[in-house]
Amino acid sequence: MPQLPSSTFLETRRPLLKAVLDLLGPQYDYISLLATDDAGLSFRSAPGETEIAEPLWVQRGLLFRAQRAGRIAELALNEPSETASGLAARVSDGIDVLFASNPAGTTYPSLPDEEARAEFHAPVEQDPFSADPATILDRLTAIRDRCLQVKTIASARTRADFVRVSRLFLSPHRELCQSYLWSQAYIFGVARRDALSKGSFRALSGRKGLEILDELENRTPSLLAELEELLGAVKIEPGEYEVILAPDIAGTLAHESFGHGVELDMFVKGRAKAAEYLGKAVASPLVTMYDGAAKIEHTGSFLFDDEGTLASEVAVIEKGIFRAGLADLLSAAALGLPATGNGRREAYDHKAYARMTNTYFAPGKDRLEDMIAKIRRGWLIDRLNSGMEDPKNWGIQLVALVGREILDGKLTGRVASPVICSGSVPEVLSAIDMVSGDFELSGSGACGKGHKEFAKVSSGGPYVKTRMRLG
Amino acid sequence: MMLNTIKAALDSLALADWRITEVRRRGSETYFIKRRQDLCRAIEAVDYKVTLYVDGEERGRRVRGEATVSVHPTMEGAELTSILEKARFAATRIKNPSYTLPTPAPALIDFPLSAFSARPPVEWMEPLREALYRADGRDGALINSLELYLTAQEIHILNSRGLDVSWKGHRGYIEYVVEARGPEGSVELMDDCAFSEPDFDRLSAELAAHLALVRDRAVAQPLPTLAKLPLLVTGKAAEDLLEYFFLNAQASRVYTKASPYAIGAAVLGGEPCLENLELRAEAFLPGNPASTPFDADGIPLAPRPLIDQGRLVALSGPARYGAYLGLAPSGDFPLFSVAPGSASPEELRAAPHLETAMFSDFYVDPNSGDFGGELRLAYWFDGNRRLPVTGGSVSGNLVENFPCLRLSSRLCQGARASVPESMLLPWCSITGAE
Repeated sequence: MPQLPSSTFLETRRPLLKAVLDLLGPQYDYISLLATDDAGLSFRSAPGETEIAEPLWVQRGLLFRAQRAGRIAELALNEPSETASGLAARVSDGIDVLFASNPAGTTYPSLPDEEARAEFHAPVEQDPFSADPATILDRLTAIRDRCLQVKTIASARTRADFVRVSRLFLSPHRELCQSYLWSQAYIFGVARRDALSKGSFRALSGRKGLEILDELENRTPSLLAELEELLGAVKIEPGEYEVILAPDIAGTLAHESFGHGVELDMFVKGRAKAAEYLGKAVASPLVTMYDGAAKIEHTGSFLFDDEGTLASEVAVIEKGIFRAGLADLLSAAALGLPATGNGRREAYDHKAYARMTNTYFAPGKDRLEDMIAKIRRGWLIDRLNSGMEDPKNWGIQLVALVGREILDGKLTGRVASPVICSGSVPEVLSAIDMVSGDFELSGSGACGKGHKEFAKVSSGGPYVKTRMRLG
Repeated sequence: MMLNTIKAALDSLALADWRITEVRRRGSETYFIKRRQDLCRAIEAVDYKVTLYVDGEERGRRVRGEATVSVHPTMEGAELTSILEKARFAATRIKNPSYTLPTPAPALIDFPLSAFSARPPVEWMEPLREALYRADGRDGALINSLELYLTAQEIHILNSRGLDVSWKGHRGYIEYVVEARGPEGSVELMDDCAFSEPDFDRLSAELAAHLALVRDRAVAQPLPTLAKLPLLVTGKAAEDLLEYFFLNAQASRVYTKASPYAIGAAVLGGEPCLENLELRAEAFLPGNPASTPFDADGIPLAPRPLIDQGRLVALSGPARYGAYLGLAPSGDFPLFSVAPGSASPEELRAAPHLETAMFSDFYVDPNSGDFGGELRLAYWFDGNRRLPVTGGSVSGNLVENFPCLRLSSRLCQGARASVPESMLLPWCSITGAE
């Protein structure tokens, strides 16, 4: 399979950028540069129109980070000067203004800058950037039209985004380069009967090219069936229930509870309840949870993070015991811990935070049908809408579009929508008493830190059975 | 100059039309942990978006194709030509109904320069910090962390029909976490706020209000399950609920039939309602950084009723949708307002109810009107006492509730709108925390 080439922009400017760092090096205790050149294509087909645009992930720019006497400053720009000396002067002027404006700022231990040189260029099976856009639009339009043939479908649209990530990280002792492709594709449908409208969707994602469209086409029948069910959906009676969380919901439980909950910048700020539980039981012994960009290939995977730390995999929870958090470089320095390759930025002009990559529960040994058979009165929760973290007080919120009723060990066919799931993180995780052998990851959409700073991640794993409050 | 370079490259392609949007940004950011400055950042960037249009014919009707691409200031020569040529080729693959680009027209509203223009963003950081931290530590509640951003922007839109408009704006933004200690330990609340003027009193009041809320959260009891209690939704959640109507008045949703609305028809099926729904698209709300004199096509914006006496009278949206729907282009509005309701805040709070203060994340479905979320803080009024409660969740449906809901006569300014500060919904589910 051919490999994704390096960005021409980054390659042609690499010598100049290295020269800039050589000039800046003597002025600071630490200096580094992240150079980004991410390109993207977004194809959309809606009733009456098609569109070719760009996804929000497109960016090209330079981010300089400097440390002097322990303090940190960053300058982002995308109109670099033509000469190394000109750019170096502009950067040092800008950073010196920042240091002057922050005389009493936090001081950090010296940021590490060990030798590392590596390159990664991912293989591409079907490159969307060299395909005729008409073929992509035709396929998306065919899926759209297939949905619109159903009488109760008022509207349907399809979308496919492809992003080619190219990054270069330079420091006096590090030179790292990577390029890879990720994609996501959607079908959105709105069913309508009289004054009632209900929407749902199918989403796919991964480190793949046009082959994602083959999978999208296969999802249409189940979406149409679900939209019909949603027109007859009931409201859930509020209460605590036994629940089976589908992989996208379970993955979001992992993501919100012990993903966001153990981002170590929260520890630095005293915002993480998890800090009191290192080495202690936080979940049932059936629960093992990981986060990492290194071992799993999905939308959260990379060779190095946006601070030049090589990717790793962190065993966050092992058999119910909380083992380790996720560290960006500054949090790691503040806490005296190693960085874990979780320092990520929404774009070159954004701050780096401790962020997740691919977050998942490890699969177990149970079968979904046995999990359903164990439930006297409960729900199978599916089709994630959103989740929200609460690292300080360990609440959990998950919003799902589909709940399937289980009574006396059988699915009844009754559907509830939407389903607001809430609970206490330790209670929900400790109540996990069955974990299936399935494994699915979802990486569509984006992860926010609070309500901003969007990062591309994936989450998932198996089906898990637990107890939650539903309403 | 890059604009001229892009225009020259576009002129060499066989295009029917083009549009260029240039946004120049200079920003300063400061990050605080408690009172201590943690990190400082600065941004200097210019971004270009170029839309290329080609015309053709398909089965005897005129069609238009378009594609939008980012042009980075480092692009020139062969790279620039290549990216524009690929976008032109992509545009030829689109066969949408034909429409014409807007032509030059003057601004319809006054758009005064922000008072932030007096100094560069970095020089505002300290006065803003002082205002934001004024109430810090009051009665034991303090600011755990705060992120402060201020960006000066210059926006310039030009197209091949001679349209050439530009304006300047400032976007200030804070995200903050407040904490307080109660009998069960430390609790927190997180929120954010955008601003376009150095209104220090407003910013100070925002933080003070949230410090008071987190003190209440620190002593809040778990939410009990409360059957048949009306829900008083306030603040941002009220704005999110009313945005349901604004979203369904978007031309893109009406054209693609994601929205069931039609011009002239009642948005709620004609059923009599206790409150008249009057919703207006807005270009400018004082202090709101989303305010703009022109939309992304360069159409000048002025306030425009979208829903009048509960009926849809106009749509908001980009120029092409107006043409697709046979309507005059009205513009794509970033903001909206809803007229005050008939009930005073005191009237809304007179009988037992659950008043929401802060959600973990408030969900509103733009298709169904379903809504819900987990409560970080609410107030339960049982007829005698007003008790802070926390945890649990609420859910309901806005369309079902609207005929019988009451809107406050007092307005508040939100992130995207000026709306009644609260609404009382009679039929919702309340799931207790225990």
